Amino acid sequence: MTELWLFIIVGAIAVFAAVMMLLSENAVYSALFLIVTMGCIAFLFLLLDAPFLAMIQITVYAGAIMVLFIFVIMLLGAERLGAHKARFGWLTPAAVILSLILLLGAGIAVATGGVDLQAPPDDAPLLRVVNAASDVGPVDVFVDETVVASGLAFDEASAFIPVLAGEHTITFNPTSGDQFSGTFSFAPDTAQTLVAFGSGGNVTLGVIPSDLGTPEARSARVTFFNAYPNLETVDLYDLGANGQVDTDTQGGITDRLLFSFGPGDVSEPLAVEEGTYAWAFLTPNGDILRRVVSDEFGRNYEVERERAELIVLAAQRSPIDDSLNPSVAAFVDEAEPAFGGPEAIGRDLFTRFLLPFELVSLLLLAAMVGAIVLTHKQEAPARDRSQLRRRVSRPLASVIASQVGHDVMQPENDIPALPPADSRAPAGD
Amino acid sequence: MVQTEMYVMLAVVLFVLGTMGVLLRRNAILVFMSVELMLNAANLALVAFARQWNNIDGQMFVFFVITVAAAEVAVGLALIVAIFRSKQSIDIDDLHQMEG
Repeated sequence: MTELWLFIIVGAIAVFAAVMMLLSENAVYSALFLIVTMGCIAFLFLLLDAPFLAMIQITVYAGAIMVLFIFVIMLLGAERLGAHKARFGWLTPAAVILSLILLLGAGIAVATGGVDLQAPPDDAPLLRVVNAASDVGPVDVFVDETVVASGLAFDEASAFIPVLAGEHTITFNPTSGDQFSGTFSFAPDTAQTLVAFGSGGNVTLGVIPSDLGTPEARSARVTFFNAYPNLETVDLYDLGANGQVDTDTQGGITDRLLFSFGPGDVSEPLAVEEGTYAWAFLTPNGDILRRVVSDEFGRNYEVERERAELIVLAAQRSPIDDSLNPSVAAFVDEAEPAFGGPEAIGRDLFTRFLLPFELVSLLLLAAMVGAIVLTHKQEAPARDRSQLRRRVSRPLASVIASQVGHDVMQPENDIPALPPADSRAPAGD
Repeated sequence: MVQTEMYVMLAVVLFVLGTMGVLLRRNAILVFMSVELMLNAANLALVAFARQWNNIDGQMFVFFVITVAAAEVAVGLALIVAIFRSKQSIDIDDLHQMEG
């Protein structure tokens, strides 16, 4: 409701300023009213999820372009035109009538067009599959009858695959062992990750809803999934710089992120600021089960901004002694940039719209050169003028010299006064 | 959320006001400013439709329209300055000769 009132107020100001622009006698006032209208339109852009364009509107339109207008009005002293009568008396009523017909026609077209009745098409649901099952080896994954991933090894994930909305049977077909499957429903505009986990022949499928939208500023959205079947629960701690579990003065634990995290559990998406973190999964009695590291050298885990991350704790079968060891895999996706933000616009400008972008840059360059050429004042070249003087002065000086009897041309003042300028003005000026 | 229809209606009103400015005013600079108002109205409709269809292409078009408008203003105002220099007037009723 607030938005509607904002729209009505700002729209009314925009229309009022546009009318005042039309009616103002002084062109400077008209330009200032047009700036008000443009500011209102920038505000409406903000309401319409176009923050980048709103800023462009203010800087380029209300700033640069209108300054240029006011500059030219002032330069030409053209703020008021003489009040002489228009040449065509019938033009004013005709223009008003034609404009009203245009308003009526466009208004009827918009009102009967039913713009809002047509819903936008939904985005297809996205599916990603992760193989975190310790004993099945590489798997082929089918959605209904279609292969979406083949040879997916342990701790590997497929890309996000668009599927049709509705229910699908997802079948994991391992190279060794029985295939396992589950039926899941997919809603439009959602993304899901299916994790196959478990050991031996006991494989379960877990569903993780994935949110690829923009996380909070300078942070990433991190989701944890427990696919470790050997323990009842695990806890997740941020060990910090000292590498230990910290307690506050009352003995409470201050750096625990997740508590009693059982197999198949999905954490809430955590907003994590960018930086490095010493995260570790701990057993219920406080031993470190597995640290979350960013590479094989055991460095602390690094979180970059604007990412959607999924961290999976799984059990890996060791090829040496056949024991099950905890392992951690992180699956990092770039979050989608916010609709209408500078990142979304910039990404499209440099991918799909690169050629128009280059052409517009060329156009701007040509316009700059054109403006310089058009406003360049064409003066008579200086050399011609000096020759003009010489041609005139020499016979005149010789005539005077013959009358006074000696040479009047002194080296200091060899340029006598020119004839009146208007009789010598070049044609066409 | 305000309906797209209302934004398009506002765009129509602003566009018609711009048209009236082009037809009624005799100051060439004001005619030019009215054209800018019409471009702005079209931009508003484009952004409204971009939100309606959840498609960024409308906003890309507005970006290009703003850029082209900047180029157009540079050349157009240069033309007005050149005309003023030769005619000492920018009243469009005085500009009815094709010869320089």
